[in-house]
Amino acid sequence: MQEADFIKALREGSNQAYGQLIDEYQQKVFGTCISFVPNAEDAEDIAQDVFIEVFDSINKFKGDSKLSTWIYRIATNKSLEFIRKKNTKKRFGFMQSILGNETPIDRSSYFTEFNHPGVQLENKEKSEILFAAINRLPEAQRTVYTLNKIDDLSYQEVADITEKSISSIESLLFRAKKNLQELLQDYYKNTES
Amino acid sequence: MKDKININQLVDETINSVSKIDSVKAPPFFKDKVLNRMVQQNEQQEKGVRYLNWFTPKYQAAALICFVLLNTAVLLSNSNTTDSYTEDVSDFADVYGITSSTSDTYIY
Repeated sequence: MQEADFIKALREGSNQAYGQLIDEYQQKVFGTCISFVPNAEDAEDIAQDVFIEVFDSINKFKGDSKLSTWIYRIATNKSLEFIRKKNTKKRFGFMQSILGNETPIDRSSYFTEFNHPGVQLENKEKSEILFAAINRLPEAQRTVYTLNKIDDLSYQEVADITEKSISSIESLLFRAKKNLQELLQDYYKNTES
Repeated sequence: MKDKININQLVDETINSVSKIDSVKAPPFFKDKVLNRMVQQNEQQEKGVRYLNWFTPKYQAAALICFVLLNTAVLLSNSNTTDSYTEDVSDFADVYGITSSTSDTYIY
């Protein structure tokens, strides 16, 4: 079935098309969600929300991008929305932004319990530290870094999802990596002393 | 110096740990859960719409205008009859001896 016919079937509310959509995209959507939110239960809830959103707003899909890009975009936005909500509950972002005293990486204040089924036990601690550091990056850098390095999407795919040029993706990735290095250096210096 | 090298190595290892994360499979029964949620959502929408299906924004606006006009009319008619209402009340109070002047007399 061509993509246009498939979208038409989804708009008509075909159960078969819905089933096919879930079969085809559940892996990718769950993969993206767990890349942003490294907790299997939370990621599953977000992935379910993504499909509900897709079904609810399929009529609003204009077809400017590929269906997969649109679904990835919804998954990214839903994940970021979840993180935003959890982060505001966990730390006083408002006070920090006023006082400008950013706290160092603190795994205990991470927005969710780290439970990523793809992380091996011997790597768990380092991955946990890395995810906590990623959470401290500005949102644009965090999004691009997560999609490219953790979800393993190509520059072109990341550019399509975030609606940015490839050169700005490269620049965001460069800055994200630099900031991560600084954050991690601070973290390891603090833990040593 | 040694410490700095050690920290840099740790930083690199932490950043590279991302390449050791395996891809994960969607949880079991994921499709069933999504389809169930869709069915539940559709049922809720149908329930909500069943009784007020006909009450479109056009009718809602008309109902609001009627409500405002009716209230204005009642307020205006009431303000015209206020004097007679006050008279009735004072007559009633006189008959039963509960005017402020009467009660004053009883106290002193």
